[in-house]
Amino acid sequence: MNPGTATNCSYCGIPTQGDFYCCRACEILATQVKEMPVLAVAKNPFSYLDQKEFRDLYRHKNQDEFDFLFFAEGLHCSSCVHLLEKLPQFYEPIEKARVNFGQSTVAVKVSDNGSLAQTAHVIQELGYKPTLLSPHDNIVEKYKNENRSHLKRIAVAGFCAGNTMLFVIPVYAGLAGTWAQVFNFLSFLLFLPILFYSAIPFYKGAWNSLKYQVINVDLPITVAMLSGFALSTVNLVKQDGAIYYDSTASFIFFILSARYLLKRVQQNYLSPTRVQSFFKTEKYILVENGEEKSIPWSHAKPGDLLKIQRHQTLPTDSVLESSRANLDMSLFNGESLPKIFSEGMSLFAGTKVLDESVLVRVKVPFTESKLGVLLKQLDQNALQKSHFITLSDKLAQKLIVAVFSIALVFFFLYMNVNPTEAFNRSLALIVLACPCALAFGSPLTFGLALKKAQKLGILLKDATSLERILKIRNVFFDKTGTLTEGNLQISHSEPAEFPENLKRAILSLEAFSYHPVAFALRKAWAHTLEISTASNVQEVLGRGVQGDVEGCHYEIRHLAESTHEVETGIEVLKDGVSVARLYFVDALRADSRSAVQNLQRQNIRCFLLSGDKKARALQAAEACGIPAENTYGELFPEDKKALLEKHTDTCMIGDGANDSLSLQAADVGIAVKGSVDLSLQSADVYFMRGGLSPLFDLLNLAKQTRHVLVRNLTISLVYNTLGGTLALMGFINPMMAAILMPLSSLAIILSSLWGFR
Amino acid sequence: MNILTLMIPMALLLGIGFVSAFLWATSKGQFDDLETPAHRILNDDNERKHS
Repeated sequence: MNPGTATNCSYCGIPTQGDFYCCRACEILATQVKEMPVLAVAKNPFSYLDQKEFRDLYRHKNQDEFDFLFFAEGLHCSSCVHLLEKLPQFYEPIEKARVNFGQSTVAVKVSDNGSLAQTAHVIQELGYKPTLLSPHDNIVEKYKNENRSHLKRIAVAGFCAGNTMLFVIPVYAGLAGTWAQVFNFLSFLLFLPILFYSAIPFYKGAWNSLKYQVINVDLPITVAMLSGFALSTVNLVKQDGAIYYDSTASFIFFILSARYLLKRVQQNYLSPTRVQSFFKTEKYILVENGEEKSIPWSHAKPGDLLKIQRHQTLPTDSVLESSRANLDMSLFNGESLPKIFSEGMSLFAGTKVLDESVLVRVKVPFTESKLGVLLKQLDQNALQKSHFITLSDKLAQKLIVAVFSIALVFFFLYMNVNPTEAFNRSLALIVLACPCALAFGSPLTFGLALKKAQKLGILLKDATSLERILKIRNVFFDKTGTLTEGNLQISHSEPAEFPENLKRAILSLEAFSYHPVAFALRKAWAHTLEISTASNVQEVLGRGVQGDVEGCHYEIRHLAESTHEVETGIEVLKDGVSVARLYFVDALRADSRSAVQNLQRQNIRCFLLSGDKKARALQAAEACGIPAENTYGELFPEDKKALLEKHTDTCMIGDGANDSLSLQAADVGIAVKGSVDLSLQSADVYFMRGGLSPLFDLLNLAKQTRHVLVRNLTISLVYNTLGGTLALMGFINPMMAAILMPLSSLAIILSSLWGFR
Repeated sequence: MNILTLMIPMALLLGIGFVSAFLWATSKGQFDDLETPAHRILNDDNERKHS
């Protein structure tokens, strides 16, 4: 094997980067498939899962097939599916394991005396990162019933429409007499399942449209279908005149299918893969009478003493019991630099602890914490999101008014000449002028557009965002994590250049630290490979570290924050003498400046809303080219929302929990990569790629979509005008309708496919 | 044309049979996950024997 050239995995054949196997799954399958990893002792890191509270929390009660659902991070190929479904061979009490590839989940059935901890351990040993999902997080389950019943409606409609067409051919070919009558009657019978089963969603939509007095596409569809049915049935009874069962049935089938496509694509939005969960999957250590015990986040009660470990997120508002603590507030309020808290201060749910471990006392239950209140507000607002009238709804509105007035006027004018003909022709007009392209072209176009967006790494919750984003005039950026990287980088230092041995000494001291400064140093000096061992290392909570390296005593101390508003600094002391100072800032993303300028060139105003200190916000704004008068700092979530609501045609781009209210309030809310689940739930769009460049892909795609939509609408309008005129003149017969309707549908399918080729 | 009185009910019954089979399969979850079975079929224990 020649490293450097592309090689293929020797088990599954997927190209790898010079390795023999593409992943651990392939390696295990090829080498040791029958062996069982040794049972871990009670020191299993997942042992808390076997406590009753956790088992109950994660058990899926209403399932026969499985009782626990793991999200297996890293599942990516066929071998992974194969390996994970072999779980019962690795651990006996697992009775069954079923993988869902699209969701990266594995559902397991564990016998009652089987250990969940061991199951998680085995999954981890196989090379995946297991996270248990509670029934609430089971996306597949949430949509299962809806999807199944939609599919059934399509099947019934397809069967009925297909058979009706077969029966109608001999009639078109000139069959008359009893058999023609029998065939027409069979068509009538076959139409009934559509009327009473397949078309139910349209009735619901039409009813809502009447109830809330907003015309949507469902109303004209229902009207056209019902009048088609009425006209055909009247003519069937009279044994004379046009029968439209076939064309009406087929358009219902087409519309249902197109909507199913759109629905399936949209459902990809909320998949556990994308969510950086706040804390719901975490366990917390409860200290009770000197003993430690793991509990799920939801079990933290006021008065409980919790031991929060490094990198854990606080489950609820609490009071600090340790002397000092460093907290990362960036996802909570957008503050880019870690903050130091001292004993007795209140800490908020959703902030991340950076120290080894700190003790906190729970103050309020989660629902009363700042984050919990925010969550409640989000739930309440969810229903009030301003109703956006899409282009197709708007046209449907106009079309329905136009068609009905023409039909009515014609009916009254022609009544004196021939009342029966007048009735026939006006109804024929309504049936034919059914906004087929609107009803079926739009969901198809949106479905294809969303598929293409997913390929570009953009997830949309709702297809109307594609129309909304084109109207955007004001874009609001969050600072931390959106315009900036969200982690620290060295900005400058005294002296500018460091001798290698000093770098080594600093790195050795910071080697085990999880403070953002330590991450920044490790990243900047990655080439300093050799790290000498430090002895007597002491991390002083909230202050810094000290220890002995190569015979000298070093101390790294945080400089007081107040003197340096825009940056955070550290001072390095060698044997008590200051030898260096380093300053860190949260650096801008590489593409932030060009993105802002690009938007401004399109006459879109850019704003910066930050929860961070005003000085830092101003600095970032200046670097991006956002005018100072459009920059706001030290904002609370409510303030952000209030500022945003002063403008119209808004777009909010953010990532933190504090952005969630404004993401929801904006016409288009965009969550960037690395967002927390709260903001993801309230946003309309999610970028799976980092940076701001997906914004322009989204804008381009939106333009393309609009182009296809307009083309489809033009086709359908031309068709409607033509068909309508012919119907009024009495030239349209059922056969022409049966040919014209599928033809127009075909034209629209081709136009949509061509538009997104 | 008498054969039609036999053929048409037969055709319809056949169609209804297929539709019911489809509806049954849907209720059993056959179409819930369209992606994983495609991967599952690629792996067959009998197929790979250690040489």
